[in-house]
Parts: sequence; C-alpha cells; structure tokens
Amino acid sequence: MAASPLNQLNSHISNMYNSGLLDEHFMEMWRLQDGEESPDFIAGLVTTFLTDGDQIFNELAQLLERPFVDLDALSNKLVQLKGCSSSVGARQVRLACVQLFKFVSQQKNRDE
Amino acid sequence: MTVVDAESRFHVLAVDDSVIDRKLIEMLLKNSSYQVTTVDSGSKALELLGLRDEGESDSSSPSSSPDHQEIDVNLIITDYCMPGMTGYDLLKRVKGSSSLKDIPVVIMSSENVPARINREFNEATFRNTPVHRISRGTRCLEDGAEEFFLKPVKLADMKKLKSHLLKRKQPQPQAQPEIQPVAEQVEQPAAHKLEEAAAEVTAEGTISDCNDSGVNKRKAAAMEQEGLSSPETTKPRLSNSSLAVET
Repeated sequence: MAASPLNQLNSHISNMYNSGLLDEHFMEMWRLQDGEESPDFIAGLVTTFLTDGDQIFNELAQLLERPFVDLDALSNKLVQLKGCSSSVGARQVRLACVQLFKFVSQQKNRDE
Repeated sequence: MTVVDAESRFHVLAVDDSVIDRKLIEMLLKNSSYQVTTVDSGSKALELLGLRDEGESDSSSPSSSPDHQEIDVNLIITDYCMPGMTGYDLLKRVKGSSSLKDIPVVIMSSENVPARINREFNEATFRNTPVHRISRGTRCLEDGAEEFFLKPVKLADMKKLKSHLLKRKQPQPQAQPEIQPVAEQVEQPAAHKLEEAAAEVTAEGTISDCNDSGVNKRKAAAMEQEGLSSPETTKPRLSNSSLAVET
C-alpha cells in the first residue's frame, strides 16, 4: 500500500531534519501550520527563500569571480543569507554562511 | 468560546526589511490572535504612527495629509538591523515622542554582539568615560525596549508579549504594586534569553550584521578613523590609538 502524499512529505521532512538539513525551528513552524488557517504558509515561505536565496547565491558567485574580492560586500551578502536561512530553518545553509563569514573575517584581519 | 472581534484584539506593528522575516512574524503574531500590520522600514512605521520624519508629532501640525493612514497600536516589534533607520533608532524615536512613548517596543535581532558604546562625557569627573562594550540586547533593554528576541523568533517568544500588553492596560497608579511583580518576572526571561543567546553566539561564532554605534554617526566615523576596531572584529584587538581603552 503506497504511503499517502502527506505521509511521504512528513517522512521526507523527518529525514531532512535527522540529517541536519532542517532544524528545530523549521519543525516548530511545520507543526504550527497544522493548526493554522493558512496551510500554505510553509510553502510560501520556502518558495520565497529559494527565490531570494538563489539571487543571493548568484550575487555571491559574481563577487567571488572578481580578481579582487570585495570582502565587505561578501560579508554583507553572507549575513543576508544567514538571516533568511535561519528564519526558514535551513540549518546547513546557515552553518555554511557562518563558516564562510568567519573565513572572510580572518581574511579581512589579515589584510589590514 | 467567544469569537474575538477586531476591536478587542491587541494590534501589533511589525517592522522588518526582510520579506521572509515579515511573513514569519506575521504568522506567529496572528497565531497568537493579534491583529498585525507589517511594514518594511522604520520610517514607514513612524509614518503610520503619525510621527513625521523630522521628529514632529502630528498634533503639532494642523495640516496632515488626509491620505495618511494612521493606526493605533498596542505594541511595536522591530528588527534591529535595517537600512536607513535601525530598530534601535526607531526605539529611540518612539520613546522620545510624547504621543508614542508608552507603546511597548520589542527588538528582534539575529545577533547579540557586543555593542560599542561611544565615549560619553562624565560631568562629575570632567572626563570622557572609556569606550566600553555591552551586548546589543542589554543596550536595547537599557534604552527602553521591553524585550530583545534573538532570531529566528519562536512561538514561545510570543507568549512573552502578553504581559507587556497587559501592563499598559492598567492606567491607575494604585495598580502599580500589582504591575511590579509582572515586570520582575518578565525581566528574568529577557536576561536569561540573553545569556542563552550569548552562549549560542559563542558556539557558532559571532557575526556582525550591522553597526551598533550610537546615534551620532559623525562621532562614530571619527572613531573609526582613529583606528579603533570596527564592530565586525570578533576577537579583542589592541588599538593603535592611545585613546582607546577597552574594558
């Protein structure tokens, strides 16, 4: 008997949580959605995150392609991405931003 | 269970430049049965509250545009880092306004970094007190914010809003003794949250998202030129300038 789409989705989300891609904040919002009048809240939030995140990624890539990388601009972009990923519960993205930010900060200290 | 109509619900104004964060806070507030208005900047917030950008209250000018929509709010919740007017600037403007100062303000921030406080002149000793650091959250609380929430804002944080809203609903002075214990109770969680936040920040590394220096931007710029370390520095640096004393 095939699992219903909702069960499949729930189990997919559980897997993502267990593997560290999603954090407790996402799970809280996911659970919250059940009692909400707007069942599309998470879908809307995630869609916005993917759209905005995509744009930030492209901007990060452009910054990194320059011969002289603007470390301040890079830091600002990372802060921005860290903010949205944290609000949506995208744990791995958030941690990656923190890690890269630390590296960029070290580079900045070295240059000064 | 009776249906709560719009007039009897508390009205919260949420200010955040991030679309995602606005959606999130709106959902959390509505889930807690608050009426919500969201704006994306401090200046828009002031406009809605009836304060013109120059700092004049609308009551002082007879001709306010009829198109200007003004709202009454019971609480303002604002992001700290925003371009233009920061949440801290907004806090100061609200607390400095005779018409708005009694509205509780809550600050949200993704970081609780140490804030550089500009040196201040101490009239008793006729000397500038050294630059010191307190956390952003502590500074906001000291300057009139009721709470400082670390982002992402959680449902549990929403529960802390109620006591601040209920406090304001008691206008009689003789109600003071009753209010006191509530205020003390609330102070604890905020301080506790800050300690948690500090631990969390150290664990994953501090990120400096925006400037914490005081309102006087020229002063801050001058200090930067003196070679004092910028707020982005995560480890303490010895400044070249003899003026800097970090405590």
